[in-house]
Amino acid sequence: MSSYAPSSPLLPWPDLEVYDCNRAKFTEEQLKPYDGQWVAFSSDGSRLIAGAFDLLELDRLVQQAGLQMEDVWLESILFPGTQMQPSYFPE
Amino acid sequence: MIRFSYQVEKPSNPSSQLVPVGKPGRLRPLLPIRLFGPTGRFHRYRPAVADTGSVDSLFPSLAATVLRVNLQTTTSQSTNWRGSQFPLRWGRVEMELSSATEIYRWSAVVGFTSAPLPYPLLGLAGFFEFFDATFRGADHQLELTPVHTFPGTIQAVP
Repeated sequence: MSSYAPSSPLLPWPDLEVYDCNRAKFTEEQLKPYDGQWVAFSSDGSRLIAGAFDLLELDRLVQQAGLQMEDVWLESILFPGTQMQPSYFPE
Repeated sequence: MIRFSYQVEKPSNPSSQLVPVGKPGRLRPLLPIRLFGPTGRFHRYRPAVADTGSVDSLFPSLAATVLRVNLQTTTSQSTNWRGSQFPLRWGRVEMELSSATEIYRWSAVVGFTSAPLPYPLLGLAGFFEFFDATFRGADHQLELTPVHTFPGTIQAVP
């Protein structure tokens, strides 16, 4: 092993089985408005916190909802025929 | 060793010829991953895709902005995504995988690109260089075992 030291403690992850079970309950009709967007789901997958076409805007919306990006899972929503929008490097 | 079951890609892509009978969509080796910036902020992606065809591990450019990753100075490098070229810059991050029993964290240089990636790509550099991988096709599972030179930390889940 190397001399690498993690920058923060290694903490247990949220239960992904719970997340997947709840996340799977979202219907295509519920997700369709977020087509082509990055979406933040709550840690347990039960709530869709926000969606945006780029991660900077999503970060803002998640904070507006009283959360941090560390509190959510990120996923892109893509229906057939849709592509994500190109991103960019802010100056 | 850490094992991941392939995940159904949703919404399903009807053009795929790989949708197994009785499954709602295409099964792919999609993994959950945490990406840490230098300030301790992190993103949790579910999913990222294990992509042995990608030379590098790639994340959306704005992830670097949100996580305040120090990007190397602008270069002329680019990545080819679906026939188009997009700018590519590099930055050092930490990545983390977890199973029910163990957590793996390591430091790596990954690419950030403005290409319209639907998922982060976990490629050879930054990811597969640190794991022996077995794609168990019949079982739809990916097994990852850290290489003996794994440059990170492995911790048992309490």
